[in-house]
Amino acid sequence: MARMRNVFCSIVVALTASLSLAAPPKAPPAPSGPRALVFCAPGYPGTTEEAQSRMDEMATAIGELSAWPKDSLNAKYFPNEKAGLARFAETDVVFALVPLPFFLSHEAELKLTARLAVVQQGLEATQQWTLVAKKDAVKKAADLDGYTVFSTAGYAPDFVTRVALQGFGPLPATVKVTSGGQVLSALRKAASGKEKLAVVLDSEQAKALSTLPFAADLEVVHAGPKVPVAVVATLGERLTAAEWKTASGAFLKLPSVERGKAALEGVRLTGFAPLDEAALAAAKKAFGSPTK
Amino acid sequence: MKRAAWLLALALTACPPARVPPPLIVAPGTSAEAALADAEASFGKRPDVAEVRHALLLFQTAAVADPARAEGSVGVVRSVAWLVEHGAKEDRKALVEAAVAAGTECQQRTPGTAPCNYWQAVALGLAAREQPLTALSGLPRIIDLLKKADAEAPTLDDAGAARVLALLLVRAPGWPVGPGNADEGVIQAQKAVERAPAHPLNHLALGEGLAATGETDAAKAAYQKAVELGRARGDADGADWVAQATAALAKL
Repeated sequence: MARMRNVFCSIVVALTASLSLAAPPKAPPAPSGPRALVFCAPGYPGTTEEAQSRMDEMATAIGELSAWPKDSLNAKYFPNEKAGLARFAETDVVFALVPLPFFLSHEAELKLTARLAVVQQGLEATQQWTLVAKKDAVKKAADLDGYTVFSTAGYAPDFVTRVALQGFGPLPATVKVTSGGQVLSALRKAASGKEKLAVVLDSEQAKALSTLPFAADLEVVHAGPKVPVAVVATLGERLTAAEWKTASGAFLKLPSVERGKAALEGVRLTGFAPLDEAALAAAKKAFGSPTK
Repeated sequence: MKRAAWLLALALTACPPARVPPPLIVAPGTSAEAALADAEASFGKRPDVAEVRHALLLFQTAAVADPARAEGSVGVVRSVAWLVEHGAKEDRKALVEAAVAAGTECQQRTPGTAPCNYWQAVALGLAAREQPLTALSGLPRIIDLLKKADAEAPTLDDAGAARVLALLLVRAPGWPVGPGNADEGVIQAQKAVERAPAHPLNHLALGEGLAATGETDAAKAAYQKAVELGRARGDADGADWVAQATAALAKL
């Protein structure tokens, strides 16, 4: 009995201790050490070094609005998937700002949770991806037999075939997805008809398609469903719920303060917005993301 | 009221805006020729940063000593282009402003000449890198200046115009946002290599373009050539370029 009481007593002490640990802090939540925001956009222009001054501005603006101590948030840009993944593996990275193809491809391995939508200048928070091919060459999915499909999102081939081209029909097994930043060259090749090449464009590219001198030789074959352009995500449990609450307010407030507005302009963003949860869920389902 | 205006004038005199560089005082009788020769001698002592800073001052002196000549202005941009990469980070803004001013000065003295077009493009490129917010709008002008310089003096600065244009096209945002086009960049870099095959920087530019277009093996070969040529030079610049090419190879 005495032994039983001791066990009970231990449980009470342990519970008390855990409850006191879980008690909400009185002061606003602040990070214990420097944290990092990583922008990873494969195929996008610029280098990590060239983008650093703009990254510093973003980190300062978000840090200030979060009321985090000075220099407790830093930011880095990676135009390369491999380098970005290596940086995400470091535990100080708490925010990921990534395009949807990257998010879906690495959601599980990086334990990403999408929090906010990223709004680029001149664009909405969601977009349709558009399949473009030589005029009259492709009418249905089967016509893509033996084709190479080029896209800036081609680093995530499953995104291109399952999400961007959703609704076009089952693609032939011979379709090969490639990536790169050279959209204009790919469109020119597609227009020439010399190669079996089709191009999947994002909404910004699709909007500018008609301005190309060889636009008449191309044809929009299919437009996929509306999906988020890019997201702000958190990684695993690296940030507490309270910390995210403060930080999310900072992200959303950025365009309303001068410093934040300038920082956003530097990275060609208008701001951040609540996620279109339905569009994201549909994209995840099409991609085949595991359900939590 | 009068007193307030006077105080304001005094305040403005006492605190000139940071952007305006102090006027360079040159002793009467200073020879532009001698200043240029001394400047070149100092610039030749790279990688000594103090010597290159001294070269910059001497080039500025030469520019003031003979307002009809443009070599001093060109030398200012050349010195700044080196110092921006090798000097203190906190000096960059002021240095780039000096380069942009020198580029404008060059065009005022010998308008539209190949050296002025080329070095003004370099100065504006340095400014674009420092001021990314306004960079995109300035790129067409830089491209125009480089194309003019390339057409008029294709071998200037070891095919510098083609080389710089190549790097700009590779690094700038592509269609539809900006003028970037890595494929076109590779063509320009190949042009630079054909015209000045012994210059390591041309192979470095070619390597960067090929890497951007996914031609990894060819990029490796170009970077290796840059390493080989850089080593063969046996000078500080060569060592610098060997380090750049080696770092680029490691990333492939």
